[in-house]
Amino acid sequence: MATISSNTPLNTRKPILSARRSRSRSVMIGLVVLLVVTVLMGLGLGAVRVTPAQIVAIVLDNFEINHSLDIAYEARERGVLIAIRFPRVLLGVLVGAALGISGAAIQGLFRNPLAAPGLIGISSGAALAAVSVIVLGATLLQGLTELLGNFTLPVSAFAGGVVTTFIIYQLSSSHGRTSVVTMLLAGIAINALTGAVIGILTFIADDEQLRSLTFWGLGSLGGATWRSLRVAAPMIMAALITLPFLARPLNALLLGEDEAKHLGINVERTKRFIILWVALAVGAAVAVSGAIGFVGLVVPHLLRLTIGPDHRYVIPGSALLGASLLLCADLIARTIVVPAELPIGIVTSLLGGPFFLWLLLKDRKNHLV
Amino acid sequence: MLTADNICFSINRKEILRDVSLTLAPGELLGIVGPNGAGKSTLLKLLVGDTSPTSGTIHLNERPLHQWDRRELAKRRGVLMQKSRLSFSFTVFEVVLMGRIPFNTGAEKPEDYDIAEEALYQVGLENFADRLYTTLSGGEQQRVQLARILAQIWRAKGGKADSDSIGESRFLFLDEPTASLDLAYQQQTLQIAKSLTAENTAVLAILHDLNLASQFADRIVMLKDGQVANTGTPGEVLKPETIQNLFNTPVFVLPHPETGRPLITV
Repeated sequence: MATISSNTPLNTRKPILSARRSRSRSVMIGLVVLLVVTVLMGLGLGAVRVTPAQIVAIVLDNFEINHSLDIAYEARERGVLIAIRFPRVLLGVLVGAALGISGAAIQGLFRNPLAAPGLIGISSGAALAAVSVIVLGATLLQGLTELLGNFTLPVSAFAGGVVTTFIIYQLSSSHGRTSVVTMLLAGIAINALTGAVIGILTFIADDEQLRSLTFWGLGSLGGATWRSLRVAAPMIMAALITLPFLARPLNALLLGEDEAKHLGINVERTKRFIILWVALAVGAAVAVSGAIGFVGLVVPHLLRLTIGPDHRYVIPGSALLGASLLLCADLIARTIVVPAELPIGIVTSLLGGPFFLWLLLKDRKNHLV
Repeated sequence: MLTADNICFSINRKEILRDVSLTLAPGELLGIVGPNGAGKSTLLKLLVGDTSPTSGTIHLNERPLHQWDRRELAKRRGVLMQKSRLSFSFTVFEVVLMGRIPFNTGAEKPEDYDIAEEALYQVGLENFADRLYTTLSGGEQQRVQLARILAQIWRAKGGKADSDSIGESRFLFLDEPTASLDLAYQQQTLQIAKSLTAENTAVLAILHDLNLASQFADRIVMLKDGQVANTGTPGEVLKPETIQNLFNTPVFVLPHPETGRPLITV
């Protein structure tokens, strides 16, 4: 039997419409379209212009696929597209998606819309390792530089990020349980410590090293090659594929950890997985592109404002929107001061900061988080 | 059937619960009453498996609680916590739908929507479905959470055994479910809980208000300083001397003019 009978028969009741659900689906489709458009813009715009039709033809020719398209292009266009634009745009997609999806997962894990992947020490650990390599690469860490060659910086940054996250995770776990509050506080402490060490290294750095430090700290997709793409892609792809499966546990976690347990969720495993995948994805992203701010914070926030906090949409949506936004930022970064290039972190922060403030002020009266 | 045998619980050598034994049978509403700090909430945490007892055993349907698969447990047991910390702006309907998480892995099935809708009607919030949870009052939020728990332990209509793969026994744990509710909704909440017992659900409720316990509980366990002080039907345990012993406050106990159940007043 059903529980107590209510007075109104079912068929006369007003159906409960979930307008949000259908809007979420439209937004997802919109985001896919947006990503396609930004990818084509990223590939086509710049000092050498390539039309979308030319892009298609070049790709088909490159893979030696027969086609009947009658589109002319020059060797220079093909060269720029294959050697420079494609790796850069693909890296932008991966890094943007990694930052967006990680931001969404971390904000869900901490039940805090203001959390960012940096909170669990990935960025600061990666930064510390990168700065160490830049400043001490020729002296103290010479052995490491000789061993890893061109990969010294990305590999060290990745390892630094993952190791720092692991330390923070260990500090906040006891008896098989992880306290997210302790993790937050441990993250703040570790971030302060790494900041201090970075300060010391900056202090002893010479002028050329300082310039490298600045560029690394502000992030750039300028170093994108097919090789750096091969380094970062597997880890980021793994996170992009896995994190959407944690959407329902993340939804339940928003109710509270005990509540999630009572819904049959393996809370500890969910937490471990999220930290692992975020550390790998952001570690890989930071390793190849430096520290790019604001994408992980703003993107999930923006999505929640339009489609609500359901992670089944916010998680994949953040990956899509993060990728599109980073491509736009990169387009601005490499075209606004031609022939020079602006570090992309400046663009994301310059656009992201005011935009975030505008969001906060606009919806100050609502509980929109 | 839930059975707790001689459970003890201490934190840093401070004894919170000592030798508590109780049973919770299908079809009954068991009220837990006692002064602040008596260990009521700790007892509930142990009984639902959030924390393990220092010593003693807890069995659910003859199986030790910790041996239950968490999802199988979630399919037949709902727990309504005292305070919800949900601060993300889900709609009311989305929150209630989350009660169906144990029953499906990806997207909700049509029946999940029906059940969530039914559950919202039960708590009288059918017109709130599209409202944002974060904009509701504390009492309304509490009722939404109750609807979520109802959706979780929902029983298929018609109650056929074969359509109901979970089997007969359902459990509902309520930690002060009436704390932020007004008089009418206090009654509504416990009436819903009571009606569930008619379908063989076992309900355990921590209750602050002795009169609500008197009105709705089949049995009452009085907890004092981490120990069971009294246990029995409302008529048996709600007496001036036992209540005075529990709260150190003199009270009058009169028979309710309609039901005859004990009516407590200071």
